[in-house]
Amino acid sequence: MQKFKFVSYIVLWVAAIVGGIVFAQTVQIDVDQDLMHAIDETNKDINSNISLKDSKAAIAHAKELQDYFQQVETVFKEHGNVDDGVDLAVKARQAAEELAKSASANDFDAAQAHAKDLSSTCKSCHDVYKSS
Amino acid sequence: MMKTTRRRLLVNAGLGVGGLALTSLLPGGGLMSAFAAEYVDPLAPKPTHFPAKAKSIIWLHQYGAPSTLDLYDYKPELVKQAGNDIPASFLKGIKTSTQGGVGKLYASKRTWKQYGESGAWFSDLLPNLAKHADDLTFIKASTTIGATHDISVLKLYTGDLNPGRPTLGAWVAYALGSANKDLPPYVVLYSGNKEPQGGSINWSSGFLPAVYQGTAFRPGASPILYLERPELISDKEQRDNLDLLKRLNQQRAALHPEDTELQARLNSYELAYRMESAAPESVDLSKESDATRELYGLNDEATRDYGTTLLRARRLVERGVRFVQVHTGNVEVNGDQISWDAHRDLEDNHRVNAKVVDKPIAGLIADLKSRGLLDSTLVVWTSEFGRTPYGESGNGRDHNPWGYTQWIAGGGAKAGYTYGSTDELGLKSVGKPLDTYDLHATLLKLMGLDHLKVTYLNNGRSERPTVVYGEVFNDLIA
Repeated sequence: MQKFKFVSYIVLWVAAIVGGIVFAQTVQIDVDQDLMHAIDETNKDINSNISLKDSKAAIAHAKELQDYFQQVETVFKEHGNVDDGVDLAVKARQAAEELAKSASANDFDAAQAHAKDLSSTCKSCHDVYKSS
Repeated sequence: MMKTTRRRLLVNAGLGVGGLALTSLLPGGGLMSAFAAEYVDPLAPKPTHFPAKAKSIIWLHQYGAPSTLDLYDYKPELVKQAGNDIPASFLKGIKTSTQGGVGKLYASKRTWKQYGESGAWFSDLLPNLAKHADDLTFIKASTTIGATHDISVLKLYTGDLNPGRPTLGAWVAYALGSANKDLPPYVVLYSGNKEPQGGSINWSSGFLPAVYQGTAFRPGASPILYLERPELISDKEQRDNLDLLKRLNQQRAALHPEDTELQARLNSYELAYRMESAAPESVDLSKESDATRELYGLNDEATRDYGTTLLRARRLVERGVRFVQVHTGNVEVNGDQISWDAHRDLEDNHRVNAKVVDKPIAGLIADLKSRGLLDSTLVVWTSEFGRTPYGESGNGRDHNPWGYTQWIAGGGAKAGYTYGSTDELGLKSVGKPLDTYDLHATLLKLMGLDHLKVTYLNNGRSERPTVVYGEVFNDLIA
């Protein structure tokens, strides 16, 4: 599986004034590109499932996402010193769990709200951990 | 299913190459892209999800990214700190991928004043627009992704960083249809002497049927290439040819109601014919009064080009066009043709660019207001990102996607209101930022549309304008 580097520009901003230039030290975290792509696609699928009120597919995709975010959480934990990354992965996994519950109850408004939380969490994480 | 030979014969013999070329430029893309259309009249008016506050949008894209720090976002601290390095605390969490490095904090030679009951700040670069302070709704916590123009412009229009998705205007056309059967519902205007940077991808219908793409109106008396009837064909001949073609196509359509491509083609031919007179009339300013022309700055060489474009925009919304997308063109600054993209010589750049747009935009708002159109027309002043408080090249500013100002006016927006702010130096948004998807969701709501319910099935996936994001910012709505 192809790997690529995700670079954190927030975790170790050791910004210092050197010769009038501010610079930042970065942390590199190896995250599977295919995993990130799968999350992106599955998130789009799940939004589609909710729109089409397809609870069966929404539940299946929510379970896939839970598994993916578990893998992301593991990557962050193994790296160490990126607690915010771990927290965001956990938050995304929990949103996927709640989404599955709402879809099971055919409550698609609630499922949509959880989908929004999930996407916001993804965005928050990528605000911090950007692809290099 | 298609009698290609007969059809091609009739097209070539009856309409000629000019007619064929004409249909290819129409919404729907003419012959070839008509095949993508799905139903009989894809532009028929459609109901909103809830009562609409706005009927049309005039989208004013300031290409190149103005420094809103030098127009609306007054930062006394930046003036005080000018010449110093930016404190590290302000840079926390952002990647400064600059071309020229992070320079010293830079303050331009602006003077500032508050206007209206709202007390909104304007710099001396926008003396005319400042008089409309109480008509505007500022979004001072705008944010986006990307540091290059093409990518961020794409996101501004489609909500995505990759090509292939429909633009906001296409979604509006798809969701609402056309309010004027003689004109396309989505028109693109531009000033300057060439098409906007990035081209038609920024008014594409993406995976939506091509009938919903924007139609670019060129500057000048003839807004659409090959729109005029070929010289050797009289109006009667053309009408007779079209009627014959229509009858033959209708006979076939009656036998094969499943042939939606043919139905879409029938629409394209008829719209093309109607537009031959409607499109030039819609942009013909000869009947506008001297006072109106002066209001838009048509009497001044500096503002004539952009003013003409905005007066055309008003005429188009007056005629029911749903979405008018206006791009600023390059202007001459010290001998160079440049946009708002002031990596250097910001003073000269913004002095010229601001002069070009200030009076015409103020004129547009005043004109819409006096005609009772501002209540139903949403004016959106936007750019792909803003510019940094730190300098570049000594006297310019770099790109800033982290915090900048946009504004909306009319069409149900909360007039005289400011949402959000940037930090003390104007680098990053403070509090909850408004991203491009949120702007789209909010504008769609003002048009009576729920962004979650504007959907299109593409390759089995239900797609929406805001991708997987988007939040309506109700604070912006009156």
